[in-house]
Amino acid sequence: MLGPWGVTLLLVLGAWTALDAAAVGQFMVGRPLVAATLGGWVAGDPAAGMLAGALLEALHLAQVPAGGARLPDPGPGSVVAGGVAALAGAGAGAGAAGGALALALTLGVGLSLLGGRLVERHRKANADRVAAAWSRGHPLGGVLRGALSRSAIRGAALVAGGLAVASLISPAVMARWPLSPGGTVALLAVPAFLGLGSVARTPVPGHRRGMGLLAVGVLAGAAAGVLFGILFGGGDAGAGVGAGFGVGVAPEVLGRAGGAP
Amino acid sequence: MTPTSLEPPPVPRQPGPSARGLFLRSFLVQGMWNPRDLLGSGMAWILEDQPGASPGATAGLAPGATAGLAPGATEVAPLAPFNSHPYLAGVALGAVVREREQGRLAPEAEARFRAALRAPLGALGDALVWAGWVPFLALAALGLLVMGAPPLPVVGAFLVAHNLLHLALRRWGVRIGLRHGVQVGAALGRSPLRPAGDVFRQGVVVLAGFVAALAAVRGGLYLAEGAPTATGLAAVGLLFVGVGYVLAGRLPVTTPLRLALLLLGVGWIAAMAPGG
Repeated sequence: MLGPWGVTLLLVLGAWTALDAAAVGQFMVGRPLVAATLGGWVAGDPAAGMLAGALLEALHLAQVPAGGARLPDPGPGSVVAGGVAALAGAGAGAGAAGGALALALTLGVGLSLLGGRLVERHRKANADRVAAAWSRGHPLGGVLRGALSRSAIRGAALVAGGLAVASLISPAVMARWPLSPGGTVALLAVPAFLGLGSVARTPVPGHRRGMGLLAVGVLAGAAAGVLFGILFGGGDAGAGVGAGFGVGVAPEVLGRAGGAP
Repeated sequence: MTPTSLEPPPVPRQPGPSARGLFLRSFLVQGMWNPRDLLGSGMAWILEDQPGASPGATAGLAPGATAGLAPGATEVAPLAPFNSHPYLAGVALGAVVREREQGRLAPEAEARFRAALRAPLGALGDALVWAGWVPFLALAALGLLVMGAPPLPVVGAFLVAHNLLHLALRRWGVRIGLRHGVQVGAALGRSPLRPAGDVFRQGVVVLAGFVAALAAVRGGLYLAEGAPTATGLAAVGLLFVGVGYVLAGRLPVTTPLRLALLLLGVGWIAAMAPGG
């Protein structure tokens, strides 16, 4: 259960990540991996937040915010995903752990897409406000303050909405989710792998050089995976590693205690 | 000439912002980002204390004031669009400030100069930061996490590493802009930004393959008992990587996100179905 301070911190984090996406600094606090881990940390379980954040990061990785591209806004949704993964995971019990993770990811993805739409509307409104101030000879500082305030409010409101929806979902509903946490990670690994494949197509200098570099990476990764498997077993507790993207997470978080997921 | 009561009082020349002031204000250059002038309004806000700032953008102007307009004019010219990678906007800011302080650039020439900087500042920054450095670091963090590194130190290291380059780029941009003025294009051409971007993007390709294969193999080993099944699962994972590689650029970049939402939605429908 999150107290008033915890909720306030998550709202502040949501506002900060919304501002960080473009308007203020772009320090990358709004990256899914960072925002979700911080959200999970505030809610008491950074590892659960990180698990949601790693999946969300892989899903968002191919999006390059160049030239004013219209993209989702992952920061506030990732804060919610991290917080819900930590809170619901802790309160749901072993039987509903998969549902808790699925709920966190559903909210993370949904709020990211919704946030992108809101950013688009916000930017169009910025254009009108700037033009009005400019044509009347008003200083732009007031427009800037208004734009930043609206960004912060948007982020906090998205977090508030996400937490409100999550609070309506009972552990009994989460327990109906058909997959274990490991299975849920595997389900989301499908689009995450698509995203990684898309990133692997990043243009590099030199004809066919990209394919060669990708092959080197795949071979090295496969070798490292097999080596880890030999040293630590099939993703067992010793290394604290779960299923692929269910990374760095204690087995109890993934709902696996040595048996099949 | 002695000013008469009919003439507006002389506007004292504002001292230009320091390099530090430009550096700090550059963090807000995208604060009013909009599809009409892109970063133009952010640039105008940063430069509005400057001598030579366009009418209407002068700090302290009373609402509705038209000081600085040509006699009889009722409208100011639209705000000029400007675009750049935000981390490199300081290059243009510094160069414009230098030229304005020295009074060497007519407004039309300044507009042409700013327009000429748009493409190189955008392309250099996007290739270095958005397509190179950021995904490189994100993939490195994901790789460490897949190998079992603890989350908070990895996230902390990601933030520190990213912002070392970020802050250095902003500071460097302001400094070379102030130093070179309109000659800053040549300085940009001599900079190591382009080759550094090439190196990072090559690293992105290697790391994308590394993380995908590592996650696929570890996931396969985790999910399946026995090497053949685990190998099969890993191969399926890598197959999806291949599909993503082939389809890159042909599908919207939000496709993985929308597919994830679809899969989760199907899962919730199955969960809510009677007898589910």
